[in-house]
Amino acid sequence: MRPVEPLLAVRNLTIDFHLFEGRAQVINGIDLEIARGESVALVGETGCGKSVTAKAILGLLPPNAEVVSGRILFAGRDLLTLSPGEFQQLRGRRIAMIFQDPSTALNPVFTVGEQLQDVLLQRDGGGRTWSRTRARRAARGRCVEMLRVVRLPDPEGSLARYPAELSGGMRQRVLIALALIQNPELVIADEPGTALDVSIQDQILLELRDLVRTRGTSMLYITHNLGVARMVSDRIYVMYAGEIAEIAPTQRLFTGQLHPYAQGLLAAIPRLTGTIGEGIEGRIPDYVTPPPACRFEPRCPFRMAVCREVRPLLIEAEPDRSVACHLHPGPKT
Amino acid sequence: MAGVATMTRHLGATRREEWRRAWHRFRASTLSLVGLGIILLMAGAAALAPLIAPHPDHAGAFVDFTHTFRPPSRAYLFGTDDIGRDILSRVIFGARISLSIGSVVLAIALLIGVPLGLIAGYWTGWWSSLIMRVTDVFLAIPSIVLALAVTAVLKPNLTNAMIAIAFTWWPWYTRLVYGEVLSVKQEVFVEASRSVGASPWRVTFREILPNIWSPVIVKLTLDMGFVILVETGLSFLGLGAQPPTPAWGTMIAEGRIYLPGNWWLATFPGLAIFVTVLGFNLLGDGLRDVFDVQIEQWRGGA
Repeated sequence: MRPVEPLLAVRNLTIDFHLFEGRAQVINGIDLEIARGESVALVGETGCGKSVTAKAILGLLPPNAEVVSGRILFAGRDLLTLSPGEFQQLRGRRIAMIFQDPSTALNPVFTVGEQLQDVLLQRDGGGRTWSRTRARRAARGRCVEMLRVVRLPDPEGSLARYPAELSGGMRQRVLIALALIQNPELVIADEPGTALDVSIQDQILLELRDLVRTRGTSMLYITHNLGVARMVSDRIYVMYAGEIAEIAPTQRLFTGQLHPYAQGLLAAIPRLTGTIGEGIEGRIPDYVTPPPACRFEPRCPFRMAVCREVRPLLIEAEPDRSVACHLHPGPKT
Repeated sequence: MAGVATMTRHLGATRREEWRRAWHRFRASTLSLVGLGIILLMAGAAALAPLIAPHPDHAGAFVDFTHTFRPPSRAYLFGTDDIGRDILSRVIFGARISLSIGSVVLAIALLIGVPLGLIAGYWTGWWSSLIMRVTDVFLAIPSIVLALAVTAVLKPNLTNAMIAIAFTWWPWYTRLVYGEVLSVKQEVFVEASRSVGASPWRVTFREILPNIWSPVIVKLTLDMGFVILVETGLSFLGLGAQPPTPAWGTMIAEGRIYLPGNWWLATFPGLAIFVTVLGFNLLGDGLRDVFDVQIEQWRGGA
């Protein structure tokens, strides 16, 4: 345990989805911690449960999802015990999300200014002390300021523009402004910038990283791209098939990986020199009937007999560094 | 800042340009223009009826036995009826009744139908199913039959005819809005607005509703014609406007006994109905063409 209480602590979270095929154990007892001001990346291949984790934190799980067990502690409060109304009060103001695809995440029939003002005024709008027009004028100022912070060109003029009149990069900046305008303590970014071309993606991610660092905002980046994770995060959680495989400070993960899956992920990155990465054999397992013990066992090049019988638990293999694999029985034994 | 000012002016020009584009698409079809022309003409006639009708006093209970059954002529363009009233004047005043009935009925249908459709589409629960099943029951009964039943229970007059038609009309809007909400609520921006703290009411009425106006507006335009048709039907059957009110349906009912000899009594109100309904249909089709293109552009993003 860290000495300071983390801003977000996910404890033993287990989520099942009710599907036609049966119960899918999509999230299988994960733990995750984010300290105040820390940037954490949740990395894994498509379908490993990263987005489900994010939606659980935001309280936006689809109706067929069921939280079987676990707690999501945010600033000491268990989010899973909140009523829908209380959760809604929290969203935007204390936890916000930046969406992946800027072309669909903005309402096409409202201007940028209207959407930003809506987010600001939905709570203190029509307040007793302020007249509505004064609130609007003040909100307008804050919107322009926010657009300037996210470096949208011509923030004043952009207020009157519709999303369709902006480029993809500009829309992504507007989405960032929408998430940050209420000054939330935790921002979740789901594959930010994936829909943009790479040079703009890098530029926006770097700006976002610096922006949240100066504001002291905690970030949870959800990404399948290790390069992105390396660029923006302090610590990386490697996720595989609904479980945390490895936790490591970003730099140390890139110098040496403990979990075979993390090794495979890094080997799969194409490099400028040499050949294209090897990739990992096989596919992510079926969640309705997952492998009985270690979920990575069918694809693991180092599998042992024990891997099919005992589920490897997350243990601290080195200081600040944990792994869930029988290859690393931990310092004690 | 001069730069910003020019940008803003530029933006204003872009907006005007969009309206011009929409108008251009609308104008591309001659029929839409004819429809718009008819509706403007009818609306103008209805608004200025006392000024342009040759005999404004003939609209009500006026009797002149010296001028009965005059065929269309220069003095009486549409002829006169069995008690000597100018039919053209009565048809012009009839436009007032028909258009106001159409507007009131659709306003009521909209006020009831749209919120119900939004609620049933966005929320999931037994009350949503209840709303849609009640809607289905209403839609299963032909509206003219239902309207007949309602007017038969209430006293036959113009207000009750409006209530009866509105009573049968709202389920169409519930259905339409329900379907649209089901598709729009899947859009990412709905989830995005929830993720920044929008309440369910806010999401439905502020985020989703503005995205579904265009099919509703098209349906409203088309429905104006149909509502007028149903109202004239009720009036014809004696369950709507009562004589001497110059409603088109009532006029046909009164004039029908003098067919075929004094044909102008029933023919001109009938023509008025035909032209008005045609006008709204043409206008509705034109609007649909304009909106369809815009929706594609919005959804496409760039």
